[in-house]
Amino acid sequence: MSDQLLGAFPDITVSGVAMIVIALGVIYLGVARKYEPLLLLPIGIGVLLANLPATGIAEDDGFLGLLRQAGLDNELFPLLMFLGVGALTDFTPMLQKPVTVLLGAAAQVGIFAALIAALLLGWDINNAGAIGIIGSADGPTTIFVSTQLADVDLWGPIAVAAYSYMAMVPLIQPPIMRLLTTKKERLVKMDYPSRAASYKARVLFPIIVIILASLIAPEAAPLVGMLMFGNLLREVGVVDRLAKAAQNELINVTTVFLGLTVGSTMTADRFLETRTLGIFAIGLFAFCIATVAGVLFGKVMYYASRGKINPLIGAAGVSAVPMAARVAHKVGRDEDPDTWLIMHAMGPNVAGVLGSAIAGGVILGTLL
Amino acid sequence: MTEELGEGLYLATVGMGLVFLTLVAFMLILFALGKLFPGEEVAEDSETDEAAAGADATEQAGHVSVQPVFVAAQQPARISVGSGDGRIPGAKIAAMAVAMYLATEQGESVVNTTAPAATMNQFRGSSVWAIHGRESLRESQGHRPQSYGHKSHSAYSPRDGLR
Repeated sequence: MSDQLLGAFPDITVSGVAMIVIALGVIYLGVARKYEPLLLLPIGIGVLLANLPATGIAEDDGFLGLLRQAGLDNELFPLLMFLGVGALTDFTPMLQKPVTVLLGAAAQVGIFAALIAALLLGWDINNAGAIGIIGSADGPTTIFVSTQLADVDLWGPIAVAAYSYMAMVPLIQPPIMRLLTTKKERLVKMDYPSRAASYKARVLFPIIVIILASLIAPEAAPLVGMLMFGNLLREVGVVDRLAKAAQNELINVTTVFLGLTVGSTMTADRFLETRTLGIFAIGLFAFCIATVAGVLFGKVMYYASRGKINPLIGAAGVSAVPMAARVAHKVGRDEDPDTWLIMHAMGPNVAGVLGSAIAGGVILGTLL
Repeated sequence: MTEELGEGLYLATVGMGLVFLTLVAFMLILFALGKLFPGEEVAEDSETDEAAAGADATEQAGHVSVQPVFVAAQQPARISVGSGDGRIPGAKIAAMAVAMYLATEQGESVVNTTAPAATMNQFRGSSVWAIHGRESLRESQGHRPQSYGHKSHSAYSPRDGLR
């Protein structure tokens, strides 16, 4: 009788309280600091619910457990999210300036550098691959790869690290960009293309990408297929209802479910380990290396183009869309208010999304 | 450990190679698509007319949408601001209104975002307002929805539902 009156209070543990504090911290970052609030808020609530004692919510037969089995264990949620991302992505800047695609490739160095770093720190190759993908700076890709490669107790920390660093791109990238470029390079004003991208090109491009990417890296087919299908819905112009559904309802509903289920994997017994700190450290390293590689390749293109390409847009190859492009634009404007890089930076930015999906597919294809 | 490190180095080399190869292939395809299906060189006059028509239609439907201006702003404008017979095209007014609204919303001074006439001509093939509208709208079309209470310019309004 007295036990019933006390409810779940006797089941409170120190580690459980620590996880509740972490959950509140994640919620604080999302709500008060506006760090990826639409992801971090559901993740924080998922962590909170999973760590409240005696509720059983995150058990296999609890509602979060059922959601996890329905959409996370089988990689469904990240794919649905990528469909929405595709419907929101405008590939026009890339179509108008194809050469910027290369910058999106260069920034993927961060993924593989982080993979090597994880191996050097003692992780096994599968977990190292999953941790390395944090460097893709792409939430759905990160979750898609990590849920297939990593131990289940790493899913939560990897997702939280990825989203946290994506939100912190404006803090991480500018010092690196300024360190690696000269004032003269940062002041480069780029020409705008004189032609718009044609309707046929915008419609054919996603179809060609689906075919080619699936042939080169079959494991990337689900990611690239959903991304480009979403983009096709947007560009084709005859299925506005579907495009709007993908851009709004689908991605919003999936975001809620994905956040809650990822958060629910972060229970005290899985999360409170020293190696969780290692994941966050490697994630930060991955973002820094990706930025360095993008900017350095931008410098190569600056010299190859005889000063026509501003190397700052190389940092936008880190596929945190559109944050990284906005950072490149802002750093350029800080140097000269008349410098407008946003549209140029969107080219490498969306190319980075494609590049990270390909990189994820290559890692899965090799390690699975 | 050493074996896994070797495997990791192999994966890194092959992985980066494949990523570059794939994206180079995409780049070549993009060049080919650009040659096969060249987009139109859009003159500002026609684009502003289209945008104005779009904006008018949107206005008549009772919508507050920046999409028509965004479409126009995506196309590179090819005239210098202030030229002509002194009349300001409708779409330019719309772009100015959007830019001022967004600047106000972001807590910035509109004056700070306006380049003086002398510097406007430095933007080859584009007007300042078109660029500003493009940038602002680009920011509003990001992939990550904004936090609650932050106006996102999407078609969805929590108060009115889908428009």
